[in-house]
Amino acid sequence: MFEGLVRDSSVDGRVYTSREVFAAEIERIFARSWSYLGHLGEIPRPGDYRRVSVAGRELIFIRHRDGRPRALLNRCAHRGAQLIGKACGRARRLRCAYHGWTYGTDGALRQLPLPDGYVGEDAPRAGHPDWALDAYPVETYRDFAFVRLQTPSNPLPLEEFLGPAREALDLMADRSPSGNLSVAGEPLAIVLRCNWKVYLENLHDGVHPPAVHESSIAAARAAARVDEPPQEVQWVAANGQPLAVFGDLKVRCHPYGHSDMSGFRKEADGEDPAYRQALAEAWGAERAGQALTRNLHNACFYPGASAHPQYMQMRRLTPLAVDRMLVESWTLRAEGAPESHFRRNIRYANTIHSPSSLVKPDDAEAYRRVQRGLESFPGAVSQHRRDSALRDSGTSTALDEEYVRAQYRAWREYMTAGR
Amino acid sequence: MIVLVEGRRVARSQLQEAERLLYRECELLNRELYEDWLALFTDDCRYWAPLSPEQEEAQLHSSLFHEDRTLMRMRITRLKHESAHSLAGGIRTSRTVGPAALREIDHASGDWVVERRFQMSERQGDRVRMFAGLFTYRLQSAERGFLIREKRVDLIDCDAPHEPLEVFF
Ligand code: FES
Ligand SMILES: [Fe+2]
Repeated sequence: MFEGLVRDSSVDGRVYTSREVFAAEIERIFARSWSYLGHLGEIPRPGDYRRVSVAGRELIFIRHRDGRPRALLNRCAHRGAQLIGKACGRARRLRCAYHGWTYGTDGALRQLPLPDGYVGEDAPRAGHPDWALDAYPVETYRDFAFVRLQTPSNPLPLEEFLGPAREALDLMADRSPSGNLSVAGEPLAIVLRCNWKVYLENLHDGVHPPAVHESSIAAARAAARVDEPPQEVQWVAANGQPLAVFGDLKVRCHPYGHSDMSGFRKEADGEDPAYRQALAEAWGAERAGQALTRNLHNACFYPGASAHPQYMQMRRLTPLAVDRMLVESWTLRAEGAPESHFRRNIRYANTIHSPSSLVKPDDAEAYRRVQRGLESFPGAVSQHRRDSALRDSGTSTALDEEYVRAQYRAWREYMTAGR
Repeated sequence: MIVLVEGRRVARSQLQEAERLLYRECELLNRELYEDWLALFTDDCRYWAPLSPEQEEAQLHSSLFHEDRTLMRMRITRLKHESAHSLAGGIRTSRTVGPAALREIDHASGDWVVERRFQMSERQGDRVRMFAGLFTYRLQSAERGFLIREKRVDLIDCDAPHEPLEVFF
């Protein structure tokens, strides 16, 4: 039924507007693939938890006594009440606000009031697995935790699912000599009035900046007329480079819809000799060098996450409705790295990922207009663009829509699997 | 009117001058006179909207807004740019403020710390949004002529997801 909506270089606009397609995507794509749950740095101590919504289910991302994270359904096994009301916190036990059923941080039912009143084979009782909170498989890669809500017949391990795209996660973890990243405070969170795919299809789009970002480019150019313009100005101005420059950005397409893109330039992060030395001791000279100099701008983990390794940004994408989505961005702090890096990365996040970003409103407006245009008449959506300068090397560029076509190859796989 | 807390005594003329400054601060934004608005700020000014309630720090923690004069001016240039696509349908805002209170006079600098509650409605394209919270101003001392050194905006829903935020609160 969904097969016919996707062709090699174009798709039917209804994939962005149909509520049926959206409901099926949640169950077949989001629930069956590995979804980004969070970084372990968000829940550093046992009992630390955070509420996370994945594929329409509300989960509790919590660290158990054994140090490992769990993904528990935030729904009491008694009458189904939402268990955790706070967005995040710390608890030794999870106690339901309604009748006081109490669970461990692994989801096991520990206590319930008036236990003598429960008789019979199938009656609730403490310690019985049938009355534990539903727990979903969690796997971590370099402390990035992913969850899978439905286990298909031939489940992929997380590492295989991430494939070569995991380099972006390695580059971030390798920025710390101990491999430890931490998180400070809330993520920046922005709501976009578009289908989730519209956003993903913009991630390596090197054709849009001169048109979409005209206003912020002009503002940055005006601001750059002063001596020593701050970095914020340069980050915004970068969108104003000639299209040919975007053709130099290499885009790699990986299995399962993932992709990544090289950047314009690399921040000089190796200026501190003690830090350089510590990284080299931890990872070896070659890998440490990569962590400091590899110019990887962003990565897409289809369907629900994206990273900007150079600025230590991790983003989680949550579809809220067929025409609405949420993007949350964390700035990860590499333990043992100079504080100046973290300060710069916070400024980058404020400039690029905050709802107040000067760049973001025009992106959001472009997405909204795509959504509006397709809602008024779905028709066909073109993804034909091929970079004419492209050699047959398996790598494309930011001027090529290959990564979008790759996303739809994955989409078709997920949507038609087992049919 | 500026309420004096902790029984401070300041010259009536100074209160009137500060009142006038704060009135203009909101009204110039309401009227989209951004250049005139920026002229109310010191050269070393800062405009800050924290991301978390009770956030004390903006260097090691993301903010909704964290701008110096250069970035404030950059925002203004964009707001006025004809190709700001998101503003194609226009954007209009209206701020309503409660009484201001003089919280503190800094011993060393003589800066005044003044706070007041606000509500702002924003109409953009097909959407109307409401914002509410607290404005906290740091005003450069009266002796040197009142100017705004910092405007801090604590939204009651600062830690909630937002659609893009384009104009100053
Ligand atoms: S619904 Fe949770 S204890 Fe009754
Ligand atoms: Fe963009």
